[in-house]
Amino acid sequence: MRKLLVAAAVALLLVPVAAKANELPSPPRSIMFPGSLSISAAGGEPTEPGNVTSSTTADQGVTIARRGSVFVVGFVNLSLRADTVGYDWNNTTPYRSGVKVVLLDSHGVFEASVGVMGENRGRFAAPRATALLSYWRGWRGDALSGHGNGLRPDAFPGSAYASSGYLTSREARNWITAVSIEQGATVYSRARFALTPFVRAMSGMDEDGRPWNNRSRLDAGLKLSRALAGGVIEAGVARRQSYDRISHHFHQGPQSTVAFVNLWMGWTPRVLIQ
Amino acid sequence: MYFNMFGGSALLHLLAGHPRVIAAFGIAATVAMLVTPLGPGKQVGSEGYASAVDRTIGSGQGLDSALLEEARSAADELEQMPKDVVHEAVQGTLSACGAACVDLTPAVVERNPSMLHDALLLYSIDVTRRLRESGGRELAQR
Repeated sequence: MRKLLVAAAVALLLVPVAAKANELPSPPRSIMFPGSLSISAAGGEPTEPGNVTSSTTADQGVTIARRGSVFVVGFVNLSLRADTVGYDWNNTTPYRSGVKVVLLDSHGVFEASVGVMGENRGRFAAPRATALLSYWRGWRGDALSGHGNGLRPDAFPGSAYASSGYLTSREARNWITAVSIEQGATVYSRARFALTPFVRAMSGMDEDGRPWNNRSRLDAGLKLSRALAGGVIEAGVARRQSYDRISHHFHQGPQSTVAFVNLWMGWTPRVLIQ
Repeated sequence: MYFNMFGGSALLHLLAGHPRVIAAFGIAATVAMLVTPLGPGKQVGSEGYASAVDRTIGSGQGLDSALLEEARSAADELEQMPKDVVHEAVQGTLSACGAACVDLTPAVVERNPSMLHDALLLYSIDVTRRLRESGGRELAQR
């Protein structure tokens, strides 16, 4: 350390030490407006053969308070869901609104939220209370050896996600938990595009024992992703094995190749408080 | 669901684009300013906020333009120094960046010329700032 500081000092020619630190301004305080848009579409789900589903979710918040890396955020979250077959459960407009506490640290993003939720199925149903815990962590896993040659991976991106709580107004008193983990190996990356084979495991459970909440899935596939300003878009295909833990039934076979497109964009404009 | 995977490299580039802010507040405090509920890193809105903070810094505060030029020259010279010196400087920058740069390692930064330049520039400015604040005492103590 001493060697480095001496080198830096020589390089800087021992700049005049005017000690103006006391004159420095305080950083301007601001109100943040964190928001995001996510759009996803998928087809080939083995439990719904021949169906293509889509979901668009917009989330907008405002920071009410902040202490270090802990934020208190008021939020509104609205989704539009649709499918090609016309199943009732896929064609709805759910919403959630409330207050969440967000904790950021090197282990990921933790959220705890309370508020109301509901949905519009021709008309808005009465809102129900909601409480939700969630956790997300992503990693890029850059390979130390530099850019790969041929198919040698140059990064190992992945993510882990978990949520637990009252998730949907249709099952307002059913506590639902879902976890997923994904790991990839980027074999090609140029100009913000990345080609990544991946495996993903997902599992869900609930209090009421509903079959659709108690499934485990394993995907193995390939996706092409591109970083956007403030977001990412990805498209890919995967072989999916789905296991229903209530009926002990495997869903697999020729129908189990899924195709998907996902887009996520986030933003945080601020208003400075003078 | 979050897909915020941009991590430290974009953030380092954002910080290096606002040397006066780094000179005024240091790397760690600037990163803390830029963290949002969506996570660390560069997002839509981060650049605007960094620019707004930049504008609040008067010309007589922090480092003036001549000293910033010296810091830039120092970063260029630092880049030519022995690998262990460069490595320690990069490690210093990443350490100050903290959780927001957790996806970066010194080896990853050192193999990317653009990222390396950003990291050394930030380090040079931060060292200069700390030397000024301590009146040179920090250097003497080490």
